Amino acid sequence: MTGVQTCALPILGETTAETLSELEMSAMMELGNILSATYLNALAMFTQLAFIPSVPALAVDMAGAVLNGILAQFGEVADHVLVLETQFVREQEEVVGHFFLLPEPDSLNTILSALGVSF
Amino acid sequence: MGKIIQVGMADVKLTRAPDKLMTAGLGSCIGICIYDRSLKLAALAHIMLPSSVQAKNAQNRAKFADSAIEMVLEDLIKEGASRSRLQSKIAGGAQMFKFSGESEIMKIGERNAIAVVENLEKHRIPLLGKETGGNYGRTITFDPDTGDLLVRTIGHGERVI
Repeated sequence: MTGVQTCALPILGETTAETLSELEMSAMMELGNILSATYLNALAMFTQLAFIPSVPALAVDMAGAVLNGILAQFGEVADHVLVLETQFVREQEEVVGHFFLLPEPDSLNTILSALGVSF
Repeated sequence: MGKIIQVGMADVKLTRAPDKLMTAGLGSCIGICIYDRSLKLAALAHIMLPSSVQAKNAQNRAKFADSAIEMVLEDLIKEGASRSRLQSKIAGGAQMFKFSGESEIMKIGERNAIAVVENLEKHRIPLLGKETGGNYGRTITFDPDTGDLLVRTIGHGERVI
């Protein structure tokens, strides 16, 4: 019942989509897929809702520009979005990168009320 | 040295030389610079969507190509710009993600570019420079003193239009 858009942000430094091999791109997409599925499972348990991830897609570029295209489609219906930012820590070392969850605007109310937040 | 004024998403800012206008990380969005060279007065709009007409929520005029251009023109004229002297340059409108099933929503960059050009034509504002399309992000800086628009990218070079 809930659609979710996720995006993999650049974690490869000064790399462009052109310099990534087919295999690297596919690995990145799979990484994003696994991360988002795990994340959604945790959220689903937490909220008792069913989450369905959208089709994986990859973009390697300026962080703002990558988020831009996704935010634009939300802009069609709303002026506010819920952005969940997650940090990953492995033992002592912190992973450099961000994981954002951007629920579709229609899903926002459902998620918030399941979390007990009135909006 | 002038300041560099940042323009956010769905935002419009005006300035005069020596200040510059900048917007970072244009993906499918478009940066529209409209300026009066003789006054060294410029406006930069960072639009997200092509049209306020079909929008469910069109409160923020700076978000849409049509209403943002109207808003910019009103603001520039309030500041003393001459309509007949106004010129424009645009950048952005990329398609950041490639999906196998190409849906309409993902072509938003292309739709934005078409809408911006149409609206500039409608208001008879000459378009002197255009850097749109592709699949990469752009950070742009406009200099009202020279009328130069600097377009920076990651891995796709840097150019002045």
